Amino acid sequence: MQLVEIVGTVLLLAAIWLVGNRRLDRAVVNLTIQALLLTLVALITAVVAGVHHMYGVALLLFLIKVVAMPMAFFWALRRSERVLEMQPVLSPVVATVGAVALVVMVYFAVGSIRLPVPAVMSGLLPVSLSVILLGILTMITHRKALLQVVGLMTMENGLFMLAMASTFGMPFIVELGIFFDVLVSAVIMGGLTHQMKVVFASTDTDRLNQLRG
Amino acid sequence: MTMELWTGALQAVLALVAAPLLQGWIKWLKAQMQGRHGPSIWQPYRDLFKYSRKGEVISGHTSWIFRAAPVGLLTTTVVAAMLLPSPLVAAALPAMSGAAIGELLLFVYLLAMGRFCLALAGLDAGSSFGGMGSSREMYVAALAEPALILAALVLMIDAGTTNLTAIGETVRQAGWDWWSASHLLAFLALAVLVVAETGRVPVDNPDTHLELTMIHEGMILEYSGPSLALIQLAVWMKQWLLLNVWLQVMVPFGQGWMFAGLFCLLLALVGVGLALVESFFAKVRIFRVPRMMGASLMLGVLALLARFVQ
Repeated sequence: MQLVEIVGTVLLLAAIWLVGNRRLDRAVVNLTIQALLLTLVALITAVVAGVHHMYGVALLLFLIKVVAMPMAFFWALRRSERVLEMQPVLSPVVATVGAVALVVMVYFAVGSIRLPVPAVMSGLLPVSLSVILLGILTMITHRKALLQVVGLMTMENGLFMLAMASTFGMPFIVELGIFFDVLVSAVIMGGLTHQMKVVFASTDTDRLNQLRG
Repeated sequence: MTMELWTGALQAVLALVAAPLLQGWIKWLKAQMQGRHGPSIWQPYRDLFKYSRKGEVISGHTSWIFRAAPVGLLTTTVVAAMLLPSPLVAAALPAMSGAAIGELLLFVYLLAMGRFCLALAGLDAGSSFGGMGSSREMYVAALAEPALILAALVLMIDAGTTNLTAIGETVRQAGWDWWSASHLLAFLALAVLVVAETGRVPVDNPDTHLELTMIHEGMILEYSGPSLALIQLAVWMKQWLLLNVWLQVMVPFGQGWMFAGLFCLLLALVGVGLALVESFFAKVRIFRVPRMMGASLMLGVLALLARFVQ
């Protein structure tokens, strides 16, 4: 059962890379890689636990998160961004060091958390918690609207992995609800980014801290 | 003890003979990927032969260090090669397998000693390029060493020994279960370091003599003739040895010719990987190198974490 842990760890590496990343298009590529790895985790879970509807979940994950969402993101990028280089709040080095420190803390904290995770999946617990926190860190350290959504999706990936690790797959109807949420948020992001671009001529979220009457 | 010496001698001879071939293979692949005809795979052997027959020009400003350094470099590398167990030798002489000395820490620091010789030689001639090359080489080495030890530590702790032969035995017994999350992180950290230590593309470019960027070539700029042959051979051997170590801590090789063949195949594949990296990536600025080493160190730290906090 080390395979699922290995795939999860690679996803964690991708999330750490995302925090220190400086380019918009690479952030989308990163998210696609994460989604692909998440699909793999779902497939492995399906095979190991013998839960058949997890195959359907893996297929949906692939279609929505690996195919549809990156397409939507790239479409939004082409429409609203001319410069792909970002100006994050922290320098990439500081951000990456912070990300690693965060992961270290999660690994040490995880020992005192009692979650009903099956023993075979216990390796995924610190990994998915780290990915959730790294998603938040991404949202904090970046200003672009797109990166807020990418950070949110990273958090969602972590949550999804945690859910898979602790339950071997939720009921299919719940999974469907989650996918619908994800899809809707991606669509809203597209519209919002466009609207920001129209109003402010920029997608910097720092422009959103004032109310205009 | 005699047994170990004989095995060691065989391993060293194998490294001496095969290392230029690996170099030639990587160079040939790279040329093919870049759409060039390129030199043949056997060119490194021809180069060595050519250098060894030529005369040597030694600057009047050098001391004995300049003449001793190539010998020191090759000697330390050959001793390191004697320490490193090889699947090929194990297949050829099953009776002697497990007789390799294989001390990993000694191996690492023997290579560091060879590097020290070369850095001294670079300074000795007093040319500005040599000094710059030496200083950069030590800079990269100082950054790579902690990361290397940290990543190796994870593997050494799990095997319960610093002996490469015993680590290989542990890997063999564990089979593919050896591939856990923490080990994967350690392998990745080691991969970055192998690239840095062999002086390949993101860190150094082995093909150019461009003044502002060269590291290794800067140090050996003053050398010619037989001394140059010794240095080139030692450097190619180091590349062979590092790739060997990397594969052996990663892949559970058994004994016998099948595994020896697998080993050669994987080595060739790693060559393809290196050539790909050299074709697709640019060399990073020298002040960016700490970031690469930092990434490697980070992977090492995460590997230790994943190993101990479960």
